[in-house]
Amino acid sequence: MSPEELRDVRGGQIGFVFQDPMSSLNPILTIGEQISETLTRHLDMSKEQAKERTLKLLAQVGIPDPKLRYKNYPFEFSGGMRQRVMIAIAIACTPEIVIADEPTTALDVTVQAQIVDLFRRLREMLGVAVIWITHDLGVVAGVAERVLVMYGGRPAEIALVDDLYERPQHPYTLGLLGALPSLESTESKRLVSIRGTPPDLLIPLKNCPFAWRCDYAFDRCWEEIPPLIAVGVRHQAACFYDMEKGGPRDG
Amino acid sequence: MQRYFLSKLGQSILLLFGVLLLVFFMVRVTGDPASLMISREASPEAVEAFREKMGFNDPILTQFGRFLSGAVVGDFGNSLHFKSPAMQMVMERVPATVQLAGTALLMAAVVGIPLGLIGGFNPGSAMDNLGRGLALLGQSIPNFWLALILILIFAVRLGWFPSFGRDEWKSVVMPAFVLGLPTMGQIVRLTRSTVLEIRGEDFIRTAHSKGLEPRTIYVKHVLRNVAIPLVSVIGVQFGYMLGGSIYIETIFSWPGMGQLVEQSVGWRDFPLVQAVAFFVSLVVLLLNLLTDVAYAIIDPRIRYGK
Ligand code: SF4
Repeated sequence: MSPEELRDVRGGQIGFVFQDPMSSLNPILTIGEQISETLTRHLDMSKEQAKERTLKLLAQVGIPDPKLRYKNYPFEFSGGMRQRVMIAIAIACTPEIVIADEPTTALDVTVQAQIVDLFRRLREMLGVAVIWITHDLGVVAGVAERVLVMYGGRPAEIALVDDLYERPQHPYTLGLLGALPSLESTESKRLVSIRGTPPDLLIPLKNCPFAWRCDYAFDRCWEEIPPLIAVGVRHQAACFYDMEKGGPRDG
Repeated sequence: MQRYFLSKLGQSILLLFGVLLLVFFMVRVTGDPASLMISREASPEAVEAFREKMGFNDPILTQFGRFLSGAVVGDFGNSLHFKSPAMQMVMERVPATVQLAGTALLMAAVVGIPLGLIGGFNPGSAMDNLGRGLALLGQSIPNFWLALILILIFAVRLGWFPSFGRDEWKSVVMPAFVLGLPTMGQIVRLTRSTVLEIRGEDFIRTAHSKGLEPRTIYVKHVLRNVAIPLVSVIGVQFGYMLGGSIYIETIFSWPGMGQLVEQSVGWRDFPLVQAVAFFVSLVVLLLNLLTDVAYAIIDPRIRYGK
């Protein structure tokens, strides 16, 4: 793809929401300007049309009093409000995909829930696919339909969200779920952490990237890189060990 | 914006009052101002007569009141040496100093800003290295030495520029160059580092994620943010330059305020020294006020008092 084509895709077909809303907006341009410049860039709109649409977008992402807020600067917004502005920018040109990179990590817990809610609503309304990058498995359970677990720069497991939580098929996913604190557990239980550290990605891999930290590792894990293997309905895992059987996978 | 401006204005007026206070007491801290102003050989009668004439025998508050009421209308008394009004002598020097400082600043900005921008957008390029080299030289060469070398080469050897005075348009070139060089260096470095810093900001990534053209990103998102620190540095530097640079004006015999300072201090011409000190402070304060306004125009965070 040429740089020009890539620029058409960015903001046009793919919207982005970043982690830190405090630094992701230009401090000296108005909110309105920062939203409408995406519109005039991709949608061939006049200034007035862009303004009109920006006001609608602001209302859509739940910013009260759009007319007044249009002229405001980022420093006049709270973190949650700024993230809403970022979302308005991301969906401005009704993209097919929105990539959200840890969009709630920098926010208060209560605000997090509101932003997650907003994403869900917009997904229904606009039919946009959201790729949500996160470390927070709690949020994943709340927003995702399908989950791709990555380890060492490679997909470890892909599953529908309920399936993943009910029967994780990769030791890494299992470890992540074990590390989740739970409100239900009554007895004080230590949270399980996964021992060791992630592999150095600068050294080319010759074996399973998780082998150093895996409780189930056996000979084959040190000889090959496991490919994604179908382990259920729309469920794949990159692992040679069969959890359900309790031994190496066949084939 | 209005409140911001008013508070800055209030600060300036207070500062100006402080300057007047300093200027007034400057002559009196060592004791008898008459002994400072009159030659050592004068007879005691002559000193006493002088004291009486200048009003130094009155109570200090009366003297200060008289000084203040004169100062607000620009009256600092007559120059002891020239017998003409001190303020008027200062004003006569203004055009030369403004010409010198303006030319110097223009040279510094016209060369410095582009060099800094090129360096910031292409760090490590040949132009960047050139700019950084020039900046280092500009900031580290002592100006009196450079002035002498320039006179030696371009005035004495080549005869391209006059070595002193202000008789033709070419006269301003060498002193302005010497005066502007350190500022140019500062502008290059500041512009370059700010461009680099802003380009790494998250909001520039956001701008890229919108698919904006690189040119739009540079002009709209980077340059306006770079202008903020640049404006303040240029304001401060211009203030220094307008204060008159004593070395440079003396070396090039440039008839500006710096030269007047040098002469008036040499002659112990206190009314003149007071007038110059007051006027220069006034100019610097006004310039700072102007810088603050420019600042507020560019940066909404300041405009709205955040
Ligand atoms: S392939 Fe082997 S080492 Fe890798 S996760 Fe599965 S069991 Fe563990």
